[in-house]
Order: sequence, then C-alpha cells, then structure tokens
Amino acid sequence: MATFEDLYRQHAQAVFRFALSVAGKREVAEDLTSEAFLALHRNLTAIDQSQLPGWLLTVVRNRARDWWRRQMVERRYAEQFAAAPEPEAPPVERWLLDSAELKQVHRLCLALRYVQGMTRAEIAARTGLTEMQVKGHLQYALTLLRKSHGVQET
Amino acid sequence: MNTLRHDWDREEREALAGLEAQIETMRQRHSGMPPFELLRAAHADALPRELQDAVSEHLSASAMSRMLAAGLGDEEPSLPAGDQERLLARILKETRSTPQTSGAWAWLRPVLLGSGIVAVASLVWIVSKQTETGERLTAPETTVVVALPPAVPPFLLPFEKPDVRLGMGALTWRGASPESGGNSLLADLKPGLDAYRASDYAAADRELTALATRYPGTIEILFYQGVSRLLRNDLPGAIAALTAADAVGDRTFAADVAWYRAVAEQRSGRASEAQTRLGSICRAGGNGSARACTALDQLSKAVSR
Repeated sequence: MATFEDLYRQHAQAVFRFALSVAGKREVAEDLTSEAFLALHRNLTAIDQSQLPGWLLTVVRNRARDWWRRQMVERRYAEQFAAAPEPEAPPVERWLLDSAELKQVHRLCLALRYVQGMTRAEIAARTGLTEMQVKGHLQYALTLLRKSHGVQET
Repeated sequence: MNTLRHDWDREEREALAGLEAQIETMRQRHSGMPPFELLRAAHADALPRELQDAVSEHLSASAMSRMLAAGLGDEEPSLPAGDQERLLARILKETRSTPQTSGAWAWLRPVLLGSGIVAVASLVWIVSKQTETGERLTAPETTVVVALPPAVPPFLLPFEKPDVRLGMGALTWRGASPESGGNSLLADLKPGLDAYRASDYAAADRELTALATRYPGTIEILFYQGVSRLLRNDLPGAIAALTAADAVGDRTFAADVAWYRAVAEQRSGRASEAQTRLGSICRAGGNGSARACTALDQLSKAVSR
C-alpha cells in the first residue's frame, strides 16, 4: 500500500488541474486540492487505492459544488442564460470556431478577449496561463485572422 | 459600438482594422452567455443542480460556449513543483492540527458505546414483539408499491471517429522490396485507410488485418484496426487490437490508444480496467490528459451510483 505522500505526489497534478477547471481560480483550486487530500488522509486505510485518482476527483467535484452554492448566494447568478444568440454569426465568429489553423488555446484566448471582453491579465488568472503566454497566443491568432481575411501583413 | 475597443492596444487595432463591426456583432450575440468559470464548472458537472441545469441548457445551444467550456484541452497548466511541495506541507500541517479525541473525555467513549448497545438491543426486542403480535392478528393483505428511483441512463465514455494520421515511422518506412519502388507500407495501408475514411469499417478491418502479419508492430495498422472494430461494436476484437497497439509503445499514438481501449473496455462492462487506463492518461499530464481526468471523474461517479 502506497504512503500518503506517495499518493499525493502521484495524483496532485491531476487533482489540481481538475480543481482549476471547476473553480476557475488558482487559490480556490489549491483549497479544493488540499481538501481532497485531507479527505484521503482521513480515509487512507479504508479506501481502495486502485480507485484513485477518481475518488479524489469526486471529492473535488463535491466540494466545488458547495463552493459554487455559496457563490450563487453571494453573486446572485442568473439562472437563465441566453441560449440562441441573434443575429447570424459573422464570418469572424465562424472562423474562430471552425478554422483548422487554430488550436484550442488560440480559440479560447480570442473568445475570452473579444467575446467576453477580458484583459490579458484576467485571461491569465482564469486559465492558469502566464500573461506572456496569453499575449503570444493572441498575437499568433490575430496574425492568422488577418491572413484568413485577406489582410496582408505589413 | 466600441464598447470593447477602448482597451485594445495598437497591435490589436491594426490586426482588427476593418473587422470591428464583426467583432462587435460577435460580442453582442454572446452578451447573455454565462461567465467562463461557470461554463468550465458545468462542463465537469460541478455546479449545484439548478445552476447546472441552466448552464447545461445554454451549452446545448451555443457552440461558442461549448468551445469555452472545453478549456485549454491538452494545454491545461500544471502545478509548479515548488507549489506542489508547499501545498503538501500545508496539508500535512492541517492533518497534524486536526483535533484528536481528548484524553479528558476518553472515559466517555465506553459509556456512550455501552448505552448505544443497550438502546439497540431494546429496539430490536420491541420490534420483534410487535412483529409477533402483528402476525397473530393476521393483518389484511396489502400490496406494497415501491417507488423506484427514475432510471439513470448509463454513462458511456464518449468517442468520435479519429482522423487518419500517420506517424514518422510509417512516413519514413524503408523496408520496401526493390520492385515496389518506394514506401510499400504507405501503398499497402491505402486501401484499408481509404475504407476507414469512407466509414466502411468491415472492409477497413479486413484490409488492415491482412497487413498485420506483414508489417508487425506497425502502430497505424493496429490502431485503425482497433478503432474500426470499435465502430463496428466488435468490442473484444477492438480490445485485442488496441492492446497490441499499446504494446508497440508509440508515444505519438499512446494517449489515443489508451483512450479508445478504455472506451472499448467500458462498453464491455470492464469499467475498472477503463478507470485504470483513464487514470494513467490523467496522471501523465500530457496529450489527452484533461479529457481523461474529466471522463474518469464522470465514470467514477457512474460506477458509484
């Protein structure tokens, strides 16, 4: 049977990445990761270690639900979101979603910047990328955008 | 009109010159979308039920939101080594500070335990007496209707037909016989892969199987053979081919081989093997890791239902 520290080193990355994806904030992701491993520590002798990291991810998801429940109270999230956007998608949007030249990270940065209106710092904070990485991805994507729309580089 | 352009820098203004109206239209079309972090959390089924339902409904109708919900895919950032150790120290500190049963109250434990045993024994005696009485009175026959919980649809690992791609080994293969005049592997792969592209999986399986002994250990043959069988619902055949593909150890195909093998295993009722496989992709942190972690979570949840 592996020790707690062995299990932590084996699964910490996967658990943290999942926590970051469900909470969207690094400090919350660290808290969720910490709570999952504390739960593991309390149940170390009782759980089947072959169920890891699935067991840890389930703890993260349940704790994330509690966290979001508190956020709902504090931030009063609307429970209805616009589903069918109008008017018809412009060519730039179709390109952003469908272009084979773009990788997912480029689409994501473009959408967060020009659809959700985030600054580079905000994109970095929410994705875990550095600001420099965000800037680089945006520059590359904008270069492709100019080329695909017939604008020559100067 | 330029609600966003005020914070564009010079480079952005130049790149987007002439496209401002389209950008603005795109922004307005999605002005009612949920915040990014809600989309991500909904993607992992990590929201409270009512919020999860609302965001899921939105996701089903918006390709833009689905793209955002998928996050960074294979490029999700990792926890730097220093932060990982700092977090471990924090966890270990918390485990040490968790209050243990105080010595001052230790005497209470046997007292409570004893009282509990007496209470349970009394309850069992009372219930058994009542049952005896009930049997003697021959209660009228009643039909007990048990309301079953609504059936939960089984969770299946999703999969899509992967596009054909060739590894460097196949592209640079140099085992051709002199008369073949070049790379005979590519020429021989073509009928099978063309059938696969045309979704004729029986033909693809047949063609690729015919090549398997001629080109042993060729990852493209084993992988597309396995996927073709999976798409024909020949699950034991798919597992056999993908197990052989796994044994080749080609790093370019490794994550895909493991994923489709997990899909075949889960559909064969071998959920624990699928979980093990997904766990290894999830932990590896590379190609396909994010998808595997999410799938592992969903599969674990489904298995525990």
